[in-house]
Amino acid sequence: MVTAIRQWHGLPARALKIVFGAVVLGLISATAVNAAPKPKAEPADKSPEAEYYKKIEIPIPADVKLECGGLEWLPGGKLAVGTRRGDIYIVEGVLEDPPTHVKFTKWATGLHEILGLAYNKKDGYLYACQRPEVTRLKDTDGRGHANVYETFCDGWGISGDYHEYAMMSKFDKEGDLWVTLTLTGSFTSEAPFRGWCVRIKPDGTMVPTASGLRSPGGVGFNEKGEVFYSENQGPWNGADALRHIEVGNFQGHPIGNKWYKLAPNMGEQVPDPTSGSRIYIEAAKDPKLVPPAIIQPYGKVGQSQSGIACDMSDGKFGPFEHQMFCGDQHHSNIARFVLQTVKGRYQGVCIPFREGFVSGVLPMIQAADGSIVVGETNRGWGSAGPKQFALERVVWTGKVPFEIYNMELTHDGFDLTFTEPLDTASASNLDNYKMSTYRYIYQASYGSPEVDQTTPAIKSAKVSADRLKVHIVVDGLQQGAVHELHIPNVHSADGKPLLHPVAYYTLWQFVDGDKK
Amino acid sequence: MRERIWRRWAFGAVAFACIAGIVPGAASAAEKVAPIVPGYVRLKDEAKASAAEQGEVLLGELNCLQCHAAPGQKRIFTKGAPDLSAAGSRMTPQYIRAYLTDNHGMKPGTTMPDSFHASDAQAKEGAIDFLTNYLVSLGGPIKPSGEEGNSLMADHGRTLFQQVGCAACHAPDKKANTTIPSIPFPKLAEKTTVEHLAAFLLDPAKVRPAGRMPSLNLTKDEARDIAVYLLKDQLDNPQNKLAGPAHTSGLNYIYYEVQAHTAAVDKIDPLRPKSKGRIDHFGLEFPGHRNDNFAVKYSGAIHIPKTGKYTFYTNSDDGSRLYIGKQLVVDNDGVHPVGEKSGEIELAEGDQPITVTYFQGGGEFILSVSWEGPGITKQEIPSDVLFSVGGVPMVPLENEAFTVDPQKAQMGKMMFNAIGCAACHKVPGTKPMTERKALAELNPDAATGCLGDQIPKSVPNYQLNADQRAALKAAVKEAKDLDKPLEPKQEAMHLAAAFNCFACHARDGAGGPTADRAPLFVMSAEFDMGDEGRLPPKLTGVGAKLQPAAMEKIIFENKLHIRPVLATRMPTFHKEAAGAIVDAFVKADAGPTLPVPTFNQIAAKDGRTLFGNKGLGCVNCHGINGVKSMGMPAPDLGNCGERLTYTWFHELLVDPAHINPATRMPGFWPKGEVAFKTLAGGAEDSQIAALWEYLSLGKSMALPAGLTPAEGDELIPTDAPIVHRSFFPPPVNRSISVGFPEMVHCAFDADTVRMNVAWKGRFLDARPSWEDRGGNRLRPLGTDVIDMPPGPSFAVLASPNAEWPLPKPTYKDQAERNLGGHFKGYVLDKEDRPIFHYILNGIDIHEQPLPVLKTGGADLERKFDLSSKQPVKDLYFLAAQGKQIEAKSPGEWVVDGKLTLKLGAKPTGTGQPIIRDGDKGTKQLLIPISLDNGTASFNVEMSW
Repeated sequence: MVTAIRQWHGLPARALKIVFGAVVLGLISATAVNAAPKPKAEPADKSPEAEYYKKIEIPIPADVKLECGGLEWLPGGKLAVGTRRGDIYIVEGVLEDPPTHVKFTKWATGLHEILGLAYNKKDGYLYACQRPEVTRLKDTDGRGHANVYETFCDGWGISGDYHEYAMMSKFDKEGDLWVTLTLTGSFTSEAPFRGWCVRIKPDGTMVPTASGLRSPGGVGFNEKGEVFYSENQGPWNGADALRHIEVGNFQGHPIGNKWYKLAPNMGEQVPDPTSGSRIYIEAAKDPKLVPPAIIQPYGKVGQSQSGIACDMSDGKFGPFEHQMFCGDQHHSNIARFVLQTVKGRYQGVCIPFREGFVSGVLPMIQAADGSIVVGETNRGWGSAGPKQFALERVVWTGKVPFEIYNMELTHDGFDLTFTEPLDTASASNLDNYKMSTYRYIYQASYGSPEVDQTTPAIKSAKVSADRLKVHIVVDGLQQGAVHELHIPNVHSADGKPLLHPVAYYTLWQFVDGDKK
Repeated sequence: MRERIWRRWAFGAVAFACIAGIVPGAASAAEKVAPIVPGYVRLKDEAKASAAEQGEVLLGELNCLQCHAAPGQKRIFTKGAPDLSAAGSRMTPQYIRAYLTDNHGMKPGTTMPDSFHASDAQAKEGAIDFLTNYLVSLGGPIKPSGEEGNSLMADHGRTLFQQVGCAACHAPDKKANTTIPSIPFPKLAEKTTVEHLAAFLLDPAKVRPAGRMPSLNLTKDEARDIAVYLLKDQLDNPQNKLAGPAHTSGLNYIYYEVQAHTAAVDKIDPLRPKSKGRIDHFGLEFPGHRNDNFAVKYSGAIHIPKTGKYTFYTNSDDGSRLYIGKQLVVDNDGVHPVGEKSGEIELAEGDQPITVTYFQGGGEFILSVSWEGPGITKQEIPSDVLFSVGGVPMVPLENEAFTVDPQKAQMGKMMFNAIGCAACHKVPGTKPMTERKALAELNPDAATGCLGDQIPKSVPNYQLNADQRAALKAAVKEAKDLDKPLEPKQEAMHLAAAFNCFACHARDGAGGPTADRAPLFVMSAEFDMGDEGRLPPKLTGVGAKLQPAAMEKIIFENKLHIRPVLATRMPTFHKEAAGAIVDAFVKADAGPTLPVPTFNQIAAKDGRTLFGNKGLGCVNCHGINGVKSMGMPAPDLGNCGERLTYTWFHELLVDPAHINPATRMPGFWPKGEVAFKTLAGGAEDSQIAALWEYLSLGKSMALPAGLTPAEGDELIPTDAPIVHRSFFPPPVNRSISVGFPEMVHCAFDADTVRMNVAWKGRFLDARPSWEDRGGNRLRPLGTDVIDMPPGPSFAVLASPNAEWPLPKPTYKDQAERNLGGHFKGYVLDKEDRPIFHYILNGIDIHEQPLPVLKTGGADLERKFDLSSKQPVKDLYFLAAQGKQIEAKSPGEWVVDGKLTLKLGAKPTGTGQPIIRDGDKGTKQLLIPISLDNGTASFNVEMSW
């Protein structure tokens, strides 16, 4: 048999023997440094989104369980991936297309569920957020893996519940790290600062920063460097949302408020909100209570909102410069969030962006080439994407999709801007605009149905001279409600339908008067 | 009525007189099977032992010395007979009567003689009636059977019976005509119930203290299935249907896979079951359940021992409910972390239906159910009060109702003493009344007597055959020599014959599976290992092969078994009975020995290389400590150093075929030629020594090259330590476990800042924190777990008597949480071993746990370096806490008789150690620390 195979392969007998022996003895498997297998031909990406934003799946070696919890770039274009199993891998060749020379090196291990990595250029440490602490790591003896695991901050408590996650931002402009601390359970806060956001100063001291969090799924910055996090549906949260955190504010879930006693810098404990109300009504009573900036309507766009990225690529990621992108672990997708400041607070629109990720989307980070790297895991919750974990990249193909670029509130309706010139006829036809509104109950029990439904009337639709904008006048704008707009029949000048003909605008404050 | 009793009385009394009297009678006429003693046949036919030697074995196995005294004898291992002190509880009255009436007919080949062989029929019947009443009065009558059986259980029982080793002594099938006679069964289906037979199989020595029947280390289910097989005639007993429903031990459970939010029975009942089964208590230890989103319903009955008020408790995560009948007694429902709730109920004595429902969402899953009531302190509900009702029980054949007549029983007891039953059978309060001649005074050639052609009425009839009589006669003739101990080799053979080691093992030309039985010895794995993979090893030379302590463990403690590929199990013998066998083997096989090599770490390392696939490749066939070999499933050598003698090991390695001609193990130094000249001195002897030193590390053996732990989430340190953070018990929420390849491990609590626990053997299975949402606590996988003192490692005390600080469940600030200082992380040294760093009151403390290799395993050392810029006062190190701390020598203490602590050489900054009273009756060992020059340095070695 060996002879026959040799003839077939054209290999010398000795080489074959070695290969055979190695296979039989199981030697061709684990080595410290893992060359990733060649990418397999995946079934073609049939999503219409793929023409504009393609996905590239990074091949992962068989013995690496890359349940992604944190992503960070290191000098030399290497990507550090922190996993829920507590390992940190350094991945080289991530930006290759196709990814044929990807190399994984295990750089650190044994940490407790990493949800956040941040590299500090000044001190050369990689900061990793574990359940109980932020640890900074470094390889000081040049052996190719971290040997220093220094506790940087452990100012919060943990009682041993699965729900007690800690999720960390990158360094902000001040050099601070923001850590969001999940409650002990949906309804409990058993250890200090569960349900809070804390900042960690460059000296490692912890500053309690905001209360009222429930179950963050991601934390990141907008283009100005302000801090936002993804909140998940549950008690006091009718739906998932992108929320803005400012120093001293209260995000709405009161169970962790007992820790105000350990946070004198935060001032008086906020009063408990009234269950069964609407959050815009409660927020009017308590200036510290901040409604979510943009609601991600539950079940429609996603139901487990996660990682945050903001396009800072100067056009390398396409037309959505400075817009924000949030993943959804359950729906295995990414949606676009565009903020608008009205009366000093954020509100804005949520528009679907890209679906079909192969596992549950968790952390996201933009690369130097503008693409967004997506870390994925679905353990414990399940996801539309069938894989247990994955690492993918979303790359702009250079083609601009026909999309609603933005939806902004005006004093009498909305300005809709588009990525391509409109077909004036379809964009002027009022019948092509369908709007409905609803609110969520702000309540102590889990989630909320859509309530207070209305259907405002579209009174006019006026296309701008450059045909990139439509101003719609809406009769019946609703404070505190999601305004869901469907425009499937509005076409581009060359007759294309919208890639995503839907937008969900969260309206907290009206725009006053006509300033024109 | 009264008259009738007296009539029976008088009748029995006559019978008593007739039997006890010395009335000459006729020899037995019918052709009956001679007593079966397989070991005697082995000595006779295979070992070609002398007639006197054979006779000596028979004298023991037939209990001759129980009547015929032989004071000072050193050669006979008298068997004794079953303990009858609870005979009535486990044998049916009809069987007792039938067996006494015709024991050789009921159990052909029994070693019990017939005492009524020449009795007058009427007298015999009366006497047996007395004895039956007496024996039934001992704990009886037997309780009605509750076990339900079926043919599947019987088939499984048959397979077990044939493979695990029962059939090595007993007939593989009822009719099998075996080369070596098989130990007979009586009419078991008439004799007893599944419950009693299963209980007997699990612990044979309880009823048969002679220990000839060993325990086959069966599980409860296996024992029950074998019992069903042996009693399978009962499956068709028409009386089954007449009996009430079966009261089968254990509960029925139904398992559902569902995202439930309540344990309410009306919400669970309509669900579609995923599986069903039986379980002996309210718990989650049933196979095949997943870890989240499931529900279970347990139903059955509980035996209420006494009327009164009962409190039931459920402790669960998530929800549970307990119902008695339809009444909800405990409502512990809803999604919640582990928590206990209770409920009270008045219950009447008797059996009450009980139902417990439970559901699990995500995270940890826990269920336990307790009760408290009249005379019952709060405890988990024991399995013996839980059962379920339904189905058809297996009733013993010819079942009859029986009421003990106390007067007859009294007569029966006197008879039990008078006719000699009490000589062999132990029953408290009885003693044999018959006077028999001493062994030395017997005339073996007499025509009448046990051995004669004529067996008088007064003498029990053993149904001996001619060979047996000849052997016994030869032994009795030489009875004067019985005070001379046997030669060690003879003694080993006698014991191997008495305990029938020969059924499975060969030794010095005798024993081992005969051709007819050999096919029953099979391999439990698919692999070509020839006879090595299916036959038990030879016992020739075993006394020089195994260390005596290892033999004790193998023979008496069900430990150190290394041949899981054999379907046949090494049984566990009763040490009280067979204890002499270890010493006999050791003495019989004694020979010249080689000195055991002195342990040397470098040699052990080379031994590891030689063992691996870059050396001699032992790993091709042998695994280590549960990690499978690269190929053949030859014995795991993890416990080699504990099991083997060095002399035998050396001899085996020099020439394996010399020890076992059929072995597949090759020689590695053909004619002394050395393949790996740079390792372990490059010579055959030194390399064998190096292999030995490596193997002597036991559980602390680092895995050799070529062996890789199985795929899975178990963390196995191989070349470098593993540092792993997780939740840990008792509630340690910031645990850092350190696993060393030397298989000694510890876990550090970074919240309280203390070493929490140390252990040996397997490290951790990370699965609980790597599955689902990751909230579960990891636990030491290994054994020999040492709990460290509960408080911080270091503390500043106001006085040497001040209480050692203890962590509280809640804390007001970080200092109160981090009692032992502020944890600052760890640095890995060049060998990736972590050095922990924490700061207490401005004192930098570095602590490094390190393995210390030694023969038999590794111990743990804790190395401390302290430094401070400020002066330090009143700092103490809590070295140990326990119920007892004894100073062994200066700087050395023993804690609770288990853990030895030793302060390493040349400590700096340590003061005079103090043993003082601690919390809750404990003792604490404190070492005062002073940092006179700004530093202190010491280490503490822990061995256990």
